[in-house]
Amino acid sequence: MSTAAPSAGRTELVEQLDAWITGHADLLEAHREHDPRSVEQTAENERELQRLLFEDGWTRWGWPEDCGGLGGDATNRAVLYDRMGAHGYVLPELLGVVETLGPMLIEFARPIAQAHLAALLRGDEMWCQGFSEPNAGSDLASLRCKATQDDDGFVVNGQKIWVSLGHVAQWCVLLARTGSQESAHRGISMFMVDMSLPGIEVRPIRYANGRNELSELFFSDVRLPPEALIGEAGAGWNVAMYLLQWERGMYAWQRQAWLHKRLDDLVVGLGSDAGAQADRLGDVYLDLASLRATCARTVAALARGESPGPEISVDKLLLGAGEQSVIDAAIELLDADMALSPEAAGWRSDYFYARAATIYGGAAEIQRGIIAQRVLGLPREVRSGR
Amino acid sequence: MDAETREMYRKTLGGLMRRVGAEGAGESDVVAELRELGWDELTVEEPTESVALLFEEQGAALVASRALDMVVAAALGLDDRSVGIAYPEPGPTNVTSAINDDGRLTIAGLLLGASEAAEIAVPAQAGTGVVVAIVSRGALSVVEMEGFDDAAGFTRVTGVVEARHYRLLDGAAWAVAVAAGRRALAHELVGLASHMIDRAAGYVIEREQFGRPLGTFQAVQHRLADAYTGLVAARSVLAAIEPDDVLFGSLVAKAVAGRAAIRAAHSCTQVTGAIGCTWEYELHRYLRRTHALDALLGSWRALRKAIGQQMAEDGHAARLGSAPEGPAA
Ligand SMILES: Cc1cc2nc3c(=O)[nH]c(=O)nc-3n(C[C@H](O)[C@H](O)[C@H](O)COP(=O)(O)OP(=O)(O)OC[C@H]3O[C@@H](n4cnc5c(N)ncnc54)[C@H](O)[C@@H]3O)c2cc1C
Repeated sequence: MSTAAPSAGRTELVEQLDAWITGHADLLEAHREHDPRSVEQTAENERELQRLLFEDGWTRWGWPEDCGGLGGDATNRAVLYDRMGAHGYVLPELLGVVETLGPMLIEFARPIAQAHLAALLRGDEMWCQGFSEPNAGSDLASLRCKATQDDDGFVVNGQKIWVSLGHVAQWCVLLARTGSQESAHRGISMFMVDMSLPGIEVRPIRYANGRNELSELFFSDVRLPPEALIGEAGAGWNVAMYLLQWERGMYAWQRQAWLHKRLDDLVVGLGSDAGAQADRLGDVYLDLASLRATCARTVAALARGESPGPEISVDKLLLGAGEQSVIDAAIELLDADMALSPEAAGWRSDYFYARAATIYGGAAEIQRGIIAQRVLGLPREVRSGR
Repeated sequence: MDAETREMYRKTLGGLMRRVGAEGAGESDVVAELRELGWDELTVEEPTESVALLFEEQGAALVASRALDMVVAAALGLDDRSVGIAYPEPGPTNVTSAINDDGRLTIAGLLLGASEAAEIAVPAQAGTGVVVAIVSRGALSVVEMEGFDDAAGFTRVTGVVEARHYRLLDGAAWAVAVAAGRRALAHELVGLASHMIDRAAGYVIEREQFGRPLGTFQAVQHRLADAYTGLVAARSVLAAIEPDDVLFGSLVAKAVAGRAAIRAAHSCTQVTGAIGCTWEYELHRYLRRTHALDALLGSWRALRKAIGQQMAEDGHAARLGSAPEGPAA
């Protein structure tokens, strides 16, 4: 059991965490890479790590006590993510989901957070995020999946796609239309959906790296109780925008920890050739330092309860640029090893996932539009999406 | 510093810089005016923020002054902050002056401003280390030069000084002074980039083609959004420099800022079309200053190489700054 309290000073916190990580080197050894072949296997392997981190208190810091946490604020979580990467370990993939969905539940559906957050942190539950649809990608506000209100709650009909971890998740945070199609973003609501309910069909989608990263969900007459509603009916867009701040800020912070670790891996992989690639490595470093410094500020602002607004699209762009910078450099610099060696399976898998870093969570082009229009004040001609 | 105080200083410094900028080079002594405004006390109370504000405003107003000398002299521990600095010439080596075996000091460097300073501090290679020598201004001769930015006020100097004609500065750490200088320059580059982006944004909002403002075109929007992203990154990296890691932090900050400013300059030139390429339009002067300041104390390319070499040597990448601090901290 950890002895540190979240109120302890930052230095003590880091010291105790570092000592814990070093002391558990044997257990952590299996977690230097995600399994490059299988999402299901990764989820299985990482459940152990999640349990360990939870039992010893590390993933409970920074979450409210009534939701299974140990108190403190989001920056406590940021320390854990950073130190895991600094020691060369992965973060369980589910912790990305926690940071995307957890703060939103705490803010808009506390009872749901109280009932579920600890289970997710411990690895007993998996959640997914059902927003995108075949015809609603960047233009998310045009989504069609319908939730019709009646006396007993809501009835959901429609389809979701590109749902990360959808086929292994027990719960889905769903964005559905409760108003008319014309009501656009004003007629949307957010729900917490039990994936075992009758009428839900899930089909995994094999991603380009060969793993089932994504899923397709089909809803036919799925009955949701009224408590499934997150926030107010019709306020789903605002809830989603709140959530996206965490996805763009804290998820980016998690990613930078991992990307720095990947840069370490690249330097080690290059061995005595690293010096000859100093320019390229330096370039990658500038990209990662930019990402790290920027999302550190964003996370601090989020922890203070501030809302970064459209500026946060900068974090998303820096994440895409940083991720592609380090992974692309590895693919190019490790050269023949990359194409042929079995040890490079992780890099190859990352390479395909890095393509998506400028697509998921709002494509880079959309972020540029948001910055241009809402930060720099350039005139709008086309409505900007998520 | 609270937001209100910061705004007050920004207004004062910005006002000063804009006035000096409008008067033209050589008309006013920025450093003297800053002193009168209480600069020395401010830097004691707010060492990082004061520099940030001053240099951002100086960049935005395209002012050339000896403010950098003041910052570097302070970091060298010089009581007399009017001492000039012989900055190493841009290039792959860290210092371009040296003390030879016979004790003679061979100087090659750049001064800011022509000749106001009576004494000049010269960083020089001495064996495996770098020392700082103080020489009289009269010992240096000016070399004709032509560079990107004549308005930056760089003066190229050389000289050979016998051992008895210079003194070494006790306990001066050139590396610390370089860090302070890089940080100030990074802020100035941020100021330049910020001004260029504002101006270009203003331009594309006004100018119409195809019956609509240029700023409605995505290709234009995206270039400026990328420029802005670089600017934010440079500001964040500057804010991430920690007191116990200033040498490395300032190095990274100047590299990120230099790269961002040059990219911003190119994007801003592109979206302003032919006008942006004329002598009359101010943009080329910002572009010139950007390159001039990037070259001082290590261009972003040189610094990036240094970062990469360090990484190769260490076998891993340093993490810049620590995890964010919570509201309670
Ligand atoms: C790995 C991965 C994981 C994902 N996980 C989830 C998840 O868990 N849950 C979920 O709901 N969704 C998820 N998504 C979906 C993701 O949110 C969408 O892919 C994204 O919003 C873009 O939508 P789209 O793919 O339909 O692309 P489109 O919107 O069709 O866009 C295709 C291309 O056109 C560009 N484009 C679109 N509109 C414009 C415009 N107005 N101006 C300029 N360019 C434009 C885009 O930038 C993009 O480059 C995931 C996607 C990936 C790749």
